[in-house]
Amino acid sequence: MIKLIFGYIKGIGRTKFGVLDETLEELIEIAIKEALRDANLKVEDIDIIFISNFLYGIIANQLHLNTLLNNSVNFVGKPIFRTESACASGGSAFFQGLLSLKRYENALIVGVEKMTDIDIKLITKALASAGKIDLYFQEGFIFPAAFALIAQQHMIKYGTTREDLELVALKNHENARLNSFAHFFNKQVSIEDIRNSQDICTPLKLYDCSPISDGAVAIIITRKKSSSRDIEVIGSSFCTDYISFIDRNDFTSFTSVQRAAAEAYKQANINPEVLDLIEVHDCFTISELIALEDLKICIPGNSKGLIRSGAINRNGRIPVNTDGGLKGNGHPVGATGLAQIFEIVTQLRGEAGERQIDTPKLALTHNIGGFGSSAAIHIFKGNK
Amino acid sequence: MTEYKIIGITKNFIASVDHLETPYFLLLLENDKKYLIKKSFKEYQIGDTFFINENIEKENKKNNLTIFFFKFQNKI
Repeated sequence: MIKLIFGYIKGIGRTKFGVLDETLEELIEIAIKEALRDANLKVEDIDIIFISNFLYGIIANQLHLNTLLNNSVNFVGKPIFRTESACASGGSAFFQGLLSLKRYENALIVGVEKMTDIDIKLITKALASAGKIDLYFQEGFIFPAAFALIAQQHMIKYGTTREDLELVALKNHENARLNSFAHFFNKQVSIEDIRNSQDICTPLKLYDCSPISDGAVAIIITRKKSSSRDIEVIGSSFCTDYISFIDRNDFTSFTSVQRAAAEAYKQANINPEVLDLIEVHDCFTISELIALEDLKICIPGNSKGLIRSGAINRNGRIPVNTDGGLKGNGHPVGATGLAQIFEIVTQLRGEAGERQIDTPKLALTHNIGGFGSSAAIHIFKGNK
Repeated sequence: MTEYKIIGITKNFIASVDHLETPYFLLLLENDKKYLIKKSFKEYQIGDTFFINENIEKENKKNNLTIFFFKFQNKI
């Protein structure tokens, strides 16, 4: 089999996630400068830039972010593109960045979102645009409601319980507690806090939902490996499905994820059993369980066994969301997919400090947009 | 009139700009593998059935209106 060469990650940088004072431009600047420093590169070394963002056009009435980016770091004269695939914008931008390495030597991908200074009622409406907007206007169909219905279908079909969802939230908050970049860094959360939290959309409660966060992440990729800290990308796939929730045949799995994962496994020439670490898109706790099934970490319906047994805990057989996931790390939409890659690179380099897992070699990121309407899957190989 | 069965229900407590009154229910309806989402202020059970006039629905969707007929039925 011919080995595909996608590229190497040379530099990573990010801001803290949470309720931040910095402007969108300032967040971009912090992340990019940190990534350049990490890669030991200068602005002039970057050939092409991709900026991932979902909401700024809707909530701040500001588009043309590819040129706005020059206010943060001066890339004037270079090609810059904005990428948007709802919550999978980061994974989508990374996918496109890798494609650009066929022509360019070094690419920079930056993802950013500034969400917390907007009224929550407006944010809820803006986020609904990741699905078919008619259903929001006509029926008040919002994202937590969609994932609540998905959770309910999973419970009916497979016997997944509220307690399983609580364990997912608990695990991810435990991991986030050790991540100084995380929205919920140092926050001690108990199972009682989770169980007694307010109803959002039954059966989902507050602690089943990822938070509204600000933040930015930048990743620098390169065509050739030049350092032992460079991390190889060995699988890269992006698949789509219908945008509307009601155009699906199955509410307990996402076809886009299954297809993208199958393609990425084939590219990497691996089976899911050999993965050492996974970052999945837990926008809601049920999404983490479905991801594990769609990624073939277990058979459909058996993800509850993985969370009950502790297999996906940080010290388990296959740790999932060691940075806290979207649930604990935060979910600044345009930056989310890149934050997952940031964590994988940190772990594969052995630089994750207190939350470092034992000598990981192969890792995967799962980043979805909408109700799995877009799915980006990437597989990475470390040097340890 | 087409008969739909309720296969999923969530009670939503989150208000949005265009749907300020909460809580309300969102019903996942199914008829022969065709699905609909409907808003209701009345509580239903999974397994309940009711009828939807699809001609009115098509017309309302074209005009971007809410489905008056359905909501009227729910409030009885």
